[in-house]
Amino acid sequence: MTKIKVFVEGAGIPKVTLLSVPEDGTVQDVLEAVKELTDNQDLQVWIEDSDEPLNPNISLKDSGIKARSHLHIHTCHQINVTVNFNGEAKSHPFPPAKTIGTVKKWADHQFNLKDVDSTDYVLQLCNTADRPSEDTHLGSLTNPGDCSLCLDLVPKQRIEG
Amino acid sequence: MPEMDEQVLRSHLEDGPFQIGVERKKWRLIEIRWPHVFISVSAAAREGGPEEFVFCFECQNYPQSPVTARPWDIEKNAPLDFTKWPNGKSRIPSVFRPDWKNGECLYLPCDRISIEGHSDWSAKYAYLIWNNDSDICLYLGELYDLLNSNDYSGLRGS
Repeated sequence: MTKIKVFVEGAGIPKVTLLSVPEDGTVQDVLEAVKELTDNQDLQVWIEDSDEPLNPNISLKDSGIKARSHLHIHTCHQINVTVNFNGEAKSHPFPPAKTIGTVKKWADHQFNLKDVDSTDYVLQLCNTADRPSEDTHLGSLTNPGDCSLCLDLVPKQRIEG
Repeated sequence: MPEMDEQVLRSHLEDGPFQIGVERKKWRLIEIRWPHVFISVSAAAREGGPEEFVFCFECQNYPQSPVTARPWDIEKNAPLDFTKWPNGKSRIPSVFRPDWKNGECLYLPCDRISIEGHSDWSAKYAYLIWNNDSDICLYLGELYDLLNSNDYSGLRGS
C-alpha cells in the first residue's frame, strides 16, 4: 500500500503536522490518522481555504487530496472571528480552513486600512503576544470545541533599543 | 551518532512547520555543516534584488539556546558583502545592521547574540522571544515576513 504525506492543522493540533495516509484511501483514513494527534470527536476534514468539509466516504483522489496537500481538521463548521482595532470591534464568521491572511484582508477593508497602511499592521491573538503567520488556518488557533476567535489588529514594530 | 542538538535540529527540519514553509516556497534547506545550517529565504521581487537570501544559522545547543544568523554568500562560502544585504525604509534597516556586532548577527530579539543585554525586549517584543517551545521557524518566519513586506526595497548597494 503506497502512502502519501499530507499537512494537517486544526483544533487540538498544536503545530502543522505531516501525516501518512494511504494514497488510495478515503477522507475517513485522514480522520483515522488524526487520532494519533488529538482525541477530539466529531472531526471533519477541509482542504485549505475551502468553505465546506469533505464527505468522509469519498476517495482522496476524488476529493483532490494528493501528496503534501494542506488539510484542516475541526469540529466547527464556522469560526466566529472578532477583530479589535482602535477601540472598535468587528465580527464575521469564517470557515475554519480559511487563513489569517483572509481575515487580515477582511479586517483591512472593515477598518479602512489601505495599501501601505495595511502592511504596517498584523493580527495578534487577544491577550497573548502570538502573531500567527498569514498562512495559519483560523481553526488551528481555537481550543477544541470552541468556535470563536478573538484577534487584535496591532502595528508591526521596528526593532529598537 | 550526532549530538542531541544536531539530532533535534535535523528532526525539526523534517517536521511540519519547516516543511510547510518549504512547500509554500518560503524557505529551503541548502546544507548542514554542524553547527552551521544554511537556509535560503525567499524575497519579494525588487529591481536588482535576488529571489532569495541565504542565511548561515549557528545552532550550537539547539533548541535550549536560540540560534543566531547572518546573511551568507554561498558561492564564496563567506559572509555576504554588506552591499548585498537587504535594505528598506524602517523595519529592514533596523534588523539588517552591518554596524551591529560587525554584521555577525541580525538585530532580532530571537537572535542568541542580539538578545544579550536587551532585557526590555522580552516585554517589548514578546512575539519574537525564543522560549522552550521555539524552533528555527520562529527566526525564519520573521525573516520571510521582513523580506516580503513593503518595507523591503532591494539591496543596500543598489
